[in-house]
Amino acid sequence: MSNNRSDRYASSPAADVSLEECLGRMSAGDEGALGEFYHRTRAAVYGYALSLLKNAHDAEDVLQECYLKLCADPSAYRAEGKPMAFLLRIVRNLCLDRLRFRQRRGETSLPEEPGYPAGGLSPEDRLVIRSCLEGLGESEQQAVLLHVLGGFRFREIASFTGEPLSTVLSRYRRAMKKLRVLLS
Amino acid sequence: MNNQQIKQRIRDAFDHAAPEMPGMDPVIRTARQAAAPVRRRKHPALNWAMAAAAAVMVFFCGFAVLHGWGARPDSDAGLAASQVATDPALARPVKEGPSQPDPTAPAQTQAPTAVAVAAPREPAPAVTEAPSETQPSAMPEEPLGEEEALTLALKHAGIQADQAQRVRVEADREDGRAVYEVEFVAEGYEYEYEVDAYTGEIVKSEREKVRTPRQSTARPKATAKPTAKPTAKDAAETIGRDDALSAALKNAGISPDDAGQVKVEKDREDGRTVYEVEFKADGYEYEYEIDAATGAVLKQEKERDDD
Repeated sequence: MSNNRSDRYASSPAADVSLEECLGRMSAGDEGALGEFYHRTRAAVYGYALSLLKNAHDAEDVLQECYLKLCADPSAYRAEGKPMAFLLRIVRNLCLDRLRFRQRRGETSLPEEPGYPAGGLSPEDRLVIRSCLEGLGESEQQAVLLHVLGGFRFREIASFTGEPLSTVLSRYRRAMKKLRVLLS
Repeated sequence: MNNQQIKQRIRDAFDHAAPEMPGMDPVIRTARQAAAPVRRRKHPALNWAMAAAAAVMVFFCGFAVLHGWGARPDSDAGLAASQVATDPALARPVKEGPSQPDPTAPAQTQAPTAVAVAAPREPAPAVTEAPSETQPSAMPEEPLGEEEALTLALKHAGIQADQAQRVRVEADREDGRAVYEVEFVAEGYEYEYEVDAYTGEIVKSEREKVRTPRQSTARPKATAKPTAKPTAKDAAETIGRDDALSAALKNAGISPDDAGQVKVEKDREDGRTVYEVEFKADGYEYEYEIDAATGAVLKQEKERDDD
């Protein structure tokens, strides 16, 4: 497993290819591949789940469910060069199920007190997460997290969310402007 | 701080926040040990199949044990533990809080994992549920909202909001999926949409020529017609895009004719629907946030246009 920092994030076509390789190896029963895959994709999965659920516990649960689902059937992924989209689609469905479950239990869709991750995080990290999740609108969050953590190109975000490309672009631009203010 | 630095900080923050794979390493080691003797089998295809099966089984068991789950789910879809029937926590109407220790939940192990959260948690609620689904009598707060569903449908149809008449938006459930049924008439056609209430995906779309020509043709965009305004839900009246733009222009003291590169987008922030309005005029770039419920200016920005 590579510890190279730039390698850790799925943010380039080369990274896509190697993630796909990981999935292929996982299908072939390589447990090490799972570990590598997890390390490279967990930030995106967790970040995305956290932004949808606004609760660290639930986001962790979804994180685990997501990889379990993947392990149970890694060959479910059809090699299309978009492993991140596949993964985050799973996450989105798991989160939506969970949100519906919350509603059925008589809760509102947002918990009153957002449960942000706390343990072991530096104040800078906490500020970043808070800024992303509270300082940005929901669709702005999505644009930023999918692009920055998930390595999605804007066109891919547009098709993933079903929105026009121009909308995604201006949301992202606006989000970055807000973050620049919030993080300085 | 430039964009690159911001992006790196975001990556770092979420990378640190995302838990290390809980209990995975011991599980992987055990899986390798379990799989090793299997690999010496002669049939190569059987090798990896057995190894994979063994690894997955041990992984599941490991997870199940570490997180106090009940019987191991035996279907790939039932990965969230199938403890629905036995878990009293799920029957409670109490709101699930972020870090509440639950004394009534079934045997929970304090998993010695590297996960940031230390308190024992309730097991993950089942993704697929055994108890019958009761249709809520009134649709609770949806992530999208009827306004947004209408917007998506209009966009798909390529119809401007003020061209749409006899707009009707209704929340419904089709095949277990929550959708908005959107109907409107425009340009001599009747449109019908089903929009996924959570993802905004256009599930169904239909267009039919109106038999009796009751509708007028497209109207000039400048006139705002109240009847065409897509406010579908009585309880949540929101202003339309045109009004949001007007409010912003008024505040800036700019007339509509002088404003260029106009953009109006709806978004949700902290449970509140807002319009983000942008335009350029007189060598400046303006940005506004307008409260969709009241039309109030929430935020405004003016910047020299350097582009």
